[in-house]
Amino acid sequence: MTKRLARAGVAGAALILMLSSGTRPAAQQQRTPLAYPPLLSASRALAFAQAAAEQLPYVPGEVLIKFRDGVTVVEQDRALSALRSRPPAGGLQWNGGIALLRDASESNAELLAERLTVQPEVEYAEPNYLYKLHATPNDPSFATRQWNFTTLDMEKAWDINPGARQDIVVAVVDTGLTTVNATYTMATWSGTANVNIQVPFRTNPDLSPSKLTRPYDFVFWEGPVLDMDGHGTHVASTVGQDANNQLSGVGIAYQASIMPLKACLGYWDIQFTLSAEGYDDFVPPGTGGCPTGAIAEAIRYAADNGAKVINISLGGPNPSTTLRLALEYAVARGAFIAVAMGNEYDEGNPVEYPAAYAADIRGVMSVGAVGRSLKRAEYSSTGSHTEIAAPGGDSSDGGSSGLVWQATLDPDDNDEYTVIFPRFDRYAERGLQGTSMASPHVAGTAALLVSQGITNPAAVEALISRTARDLGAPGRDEEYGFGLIQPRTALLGLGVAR
Amino acid sequence: MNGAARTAVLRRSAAIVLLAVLAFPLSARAQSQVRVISDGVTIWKPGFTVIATTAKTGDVFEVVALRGNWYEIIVPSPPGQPDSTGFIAATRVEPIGGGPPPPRTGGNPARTGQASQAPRTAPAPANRSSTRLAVQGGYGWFMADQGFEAVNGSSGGPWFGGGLRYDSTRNFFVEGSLEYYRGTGERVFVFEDTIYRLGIENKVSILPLMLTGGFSLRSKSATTYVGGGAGAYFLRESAEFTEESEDLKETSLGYRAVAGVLFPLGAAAAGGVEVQYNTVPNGLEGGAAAAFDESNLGGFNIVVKFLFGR
Repeated sequence: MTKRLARAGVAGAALILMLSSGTRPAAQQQRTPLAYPPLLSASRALAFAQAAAEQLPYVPGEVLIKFRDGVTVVEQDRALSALRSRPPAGGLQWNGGIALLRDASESNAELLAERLTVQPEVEYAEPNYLYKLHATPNDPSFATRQWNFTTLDMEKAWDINPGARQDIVVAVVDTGLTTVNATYTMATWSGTANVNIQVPFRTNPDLSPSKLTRPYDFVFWEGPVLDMDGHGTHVASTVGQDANNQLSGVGIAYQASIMPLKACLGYWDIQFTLSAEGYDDFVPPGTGGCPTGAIAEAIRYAADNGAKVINISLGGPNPSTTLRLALEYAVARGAFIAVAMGNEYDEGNPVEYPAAYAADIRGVMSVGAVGRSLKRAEYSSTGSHTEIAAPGGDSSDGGSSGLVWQATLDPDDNDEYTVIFPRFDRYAERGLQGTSMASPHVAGTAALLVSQGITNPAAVEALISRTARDLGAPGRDEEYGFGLIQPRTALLGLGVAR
Repeated sequence: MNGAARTAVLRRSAAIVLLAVLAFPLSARAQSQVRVISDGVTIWKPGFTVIATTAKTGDVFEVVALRGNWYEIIVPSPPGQPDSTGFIAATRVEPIGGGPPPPRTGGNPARTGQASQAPRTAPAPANRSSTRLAVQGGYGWFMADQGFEAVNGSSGGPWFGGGLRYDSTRNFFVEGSLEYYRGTGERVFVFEDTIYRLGIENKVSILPLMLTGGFSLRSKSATTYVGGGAGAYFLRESAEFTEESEDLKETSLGYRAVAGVLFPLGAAAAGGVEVQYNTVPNGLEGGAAAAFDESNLGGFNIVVKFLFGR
């Protein structure tokens, strides 16, 4: 651990020095272009690294702006002139009526947002917040696994509805899910020099590629969606890992299609991008995150492309109107959304977004986590906006066997603290814990219900809530919401009297 | 229409049908006439001490009532004077007019000890007690019509049953019955005004075990009755994919009001129509019924009923 911290400290210090001096790395001329046009520019990758080094909650220099209805380009220019850099409106990046401004001259996004918010042409402006994934890795174990599905009586639930149908699409807004078997040349820092390496990628062998639909990368490049973290793959596996294929593990909606939407950048996304531009060092461990602008784009994309369920296993303490509008847009288009509550109970239990929006939007559910003994996982955030609970794993409740085990990238191949030359073509069962793991249980259950004919997101939420098994204080409470999801009970619906 | 309004309509309908059933024999009585079948038949004034007049073959009289073996009839008076009633022997007339004979409304009209040949020779019909087997079948509409319609596709269904009925000599009756309803449908989820059908078979059965008693008016041609009762409603519900231990098995207390009319069908049988108004408060505590704020398992039934035995 000391070695890791030292590495992080050195890298962070070097990065801050570089950013503060305004100089570019000497090796910048030695470029190794990516296989596809990058969406992540070197400057933006540096911004992510800066955010990690300085623990900023946003992408430095980035602001999301919503102008008032009817505001012309000339008026937008006038509003933007309030900023010192006076960026032109023509340089804004638009998505769903929301403009993303990148201001290279001012990294303090909160300051930028404050200046813009007071302009009469602006409805709101907010930093492009960086949300974090709500999962905590833990050591793997081959002991008892998938207690989570046994707890939920999934075998009997699958008697009623065998894993949804392939025309039911579940979008996973996350770090991605690898969609190709390919090897790409990537540049990375070896410790002494930037070198080009062959990085193999492979699809999850326990999640049939035929079930992947309309994948999209919103943050890394214009090429195929790749997961270089493992979080997105794990979450997608909980939703739809294959069944009956003699490979270990299964997902709840194992026949549903998965729409992998990469809205989060991991360590290797940043490292490869910066090394390709000649940055000669390791980026600080922990670099990455999920810009709210990209999350919102992904949500809208999912809704526009047929997703009936969306899983969002990420969040942050800063509210984002952009994200809230995207949630409302998706629900209005018929998509149910499961959102992780957050893992910050022991860190002051702050209100997390977008989970906090769930209470106000029918069709969006905030999901807390329980451990193996069905007690609230010790990390699981609480609050009046908690709506439902699902197994998220808790190592303090059963050790490694109390984690949620699903197929994902083998962590030994790409651990940012220990691996220099990563690979992403090997998969393993991996135990994780977090509300990130709980949320896809609800998303998978929703997929089953949608395939059963309940197509209204608000109805899906109502059914999941009404059939939940009450835990904790009687009735709805801040720890478990309405209680533990009961997929089988929900699928059974109602008779005349029961 | 919401549940409360539907229940009100159901109750109003039940009341109308009950009144109609009770009004039927009264209407029949008002329409009865008799025709004299021999000449020189004596018509007695009430009291049987004075002869009002005599009648000849073919004379027709309006009947007020059948009293023992005597018809009380309306005796026409001269113009300007009110009609009076008199008595004519039932053996000297035949009923006409299409309506059933009037009900027997009592015993012999003669006063005890009255020195009159005619009354003394007219034996009074006596009500006999009887215990008979009852068989019934019909259709019922549930108060929880929205809940039943959501699951079973219909707010009512056929009912069958049977039991034993005892009629006393004093015009009281008691009936014990066991009835049965069974509906098959599809499990649902109800959200706001939308019913989502889940494609899972659902079966519900209701078995009321009832004890009903009441008062009957008997005549040669028909028996009308009204009454009330109480009993246990056994509710069972099961579904595809559920285990027996998960099936719903509830028992609730129910109440009933009935009215009916029975007609003789030969010497040892009778048949007729009965209307039932049943209420089973809190007989439904969950499911689709609860989603519609319905909790009463009762309803309104119309059944055809047959009694066998003497």
